[in-house]
This record gives sequence, C-alpha cells and structure tokens, in this order.
Amino acid sequence: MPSCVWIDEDDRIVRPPDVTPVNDLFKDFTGIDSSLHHEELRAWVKGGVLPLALADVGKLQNVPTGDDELARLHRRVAAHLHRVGNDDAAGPHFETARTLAPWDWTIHRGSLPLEGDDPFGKSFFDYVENWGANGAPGYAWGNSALRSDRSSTD
Amino acid sequence: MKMTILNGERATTVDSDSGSSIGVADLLNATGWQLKAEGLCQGDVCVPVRDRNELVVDDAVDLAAFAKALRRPVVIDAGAGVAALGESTAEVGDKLHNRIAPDFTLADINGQEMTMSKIGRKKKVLVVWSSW
Repeated sequence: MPSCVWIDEDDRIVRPPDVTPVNDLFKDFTGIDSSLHHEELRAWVKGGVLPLALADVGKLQNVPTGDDELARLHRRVAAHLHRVGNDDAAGPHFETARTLAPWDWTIHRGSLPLEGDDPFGKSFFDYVENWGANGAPGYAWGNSALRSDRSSTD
Repeated sequence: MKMTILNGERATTVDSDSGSSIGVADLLNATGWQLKAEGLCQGDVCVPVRDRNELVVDDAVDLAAFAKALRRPVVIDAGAGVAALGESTAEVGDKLHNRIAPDFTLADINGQEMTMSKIGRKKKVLVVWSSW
C-alpha cells in the first residue's frame, strides 16, 4: 500500500507520512477513498493549498521510539547477514526486530521473503488477523487524523 | 577478523581484533567521525568524551562506547562481525517535529543515483511502497 509524504521547496515536510492508495482496489481493507489524496495533491501543486496547518504537521509525525530504532538496526544487521549468506546468524536478529517492533509491517512482512517465507502466505495472514484484533496499531494513524480533520471541514 | 560497519547508507568492512571494536585509523572511514584531543569530531563539530579509557583500548575504538558517547543506538554482533549504527532518537524526533525532511540518495529506475537535496526548490512527493 503506497505511503506518501509531501516535501516543500525548502525541504520541509508539509504533509506527514500517510497511507495513500493509488486507487480503490483495497478500499474495503483500508477504508480510504483514494480520491481524497488526489484532490489534496492537485490543490497543493496547482494552488499551494495545504490540507493541514503547518503547526499540526510536526505533531502528526510518527517519531520512532528507542525500541523502534533498535528494531530497525537489528533488521538491518539481519538483512546484511542474509545477503552475505549467514542465515544462521541473521535469524535471531530478525526475531529481535519483531519483538521490539511487533506492529511494524516493514519489519514483519518485509523480512518474510528474506527468511524464505511467503509474504502472501499463512504467517502473513495470521499476522494481519492478530494486528487487526489489536486495533490495527501503527497503520493509517496519520490518515485517521487527517480524515477526522477533513470530516470536520467537509 | 573482518567487521562490517553499517552506518546510514554506507557499509564499510575493516579489520577488527574483537568483533566489537575497530582501529582508531579506521574510525573516520567507517563512521565519518574521528578521534581528536577535543573528543569525537565530525568536521567542525566535536563531542567531548568523558571516559577515553572506555572508548579506546589498545588503539582500538570500542563501538558500544562510541555509540554511547554520541547517544546513538547500536547493534553489534561480534560473532558474525557486523555492527549497525543508528541515529540519535532525540535528533530524529527534533527533525521530525520541526518538519525537516532528511536528505537521502537512492538509485533511480535507470540505476543513476539521485539525491533529494539536489532536486532544488520544487515541491516533492515521496511515494513509498513495496512490490513484495
């Protein structure tokens, strides 16, 4: 699922990272109407109109925690070890990354192919079910915030 | 033994006796920092080192002490000969709260490297996805 971040002429973030589907193929799953982002993007590019007050953009940034940072480093070590053919050493780092950041899709699903697992297989769909049962943490948080912002102005 | 240091977008392989430390002479190439009388320095910026004996042992820089001095997270697998250095969580948070987009360099679809800051004064939309 594509995510977007908007960066202005001064290299400042003006729209925080957000789930932005290209079309409505997975609308039942995401609950996101793809046209919203398209319309906002046109308004910004053509007219300089931003969907959020700049003061709110900083607040909506998903700042990684210390555990998030460590999880990314463990995954980086694991991916490196996998690339050099040391999968025995990579395995514990993949697992530690998942333990530290259990709802990080990039870490979880992105690691499956490196571990010889299917990113569309049972372990992935088990993960999705568990993630959904836990309130879908970490996903579309910004979008939810942006959508509530939109709904108040629509 | 050989040790690979993963730092930002770079991977540098150097000699290491312990798997958790690297030679003082290799520090600049592997991390962009060097040890001076003032402390650990990167360009004109220097960070004082409180315990130099913890940082440098037998002319080798202990990577855990190095990361601690710079308040950066690190993961070291001495047995496998690899270490990954992260960014300071506080610095990352400050940048994001202040809406500063971190610069990056990636290969484009033709394999040519592209750096965001070289795009110039244009609006930029960064789209991230995976093909799985």
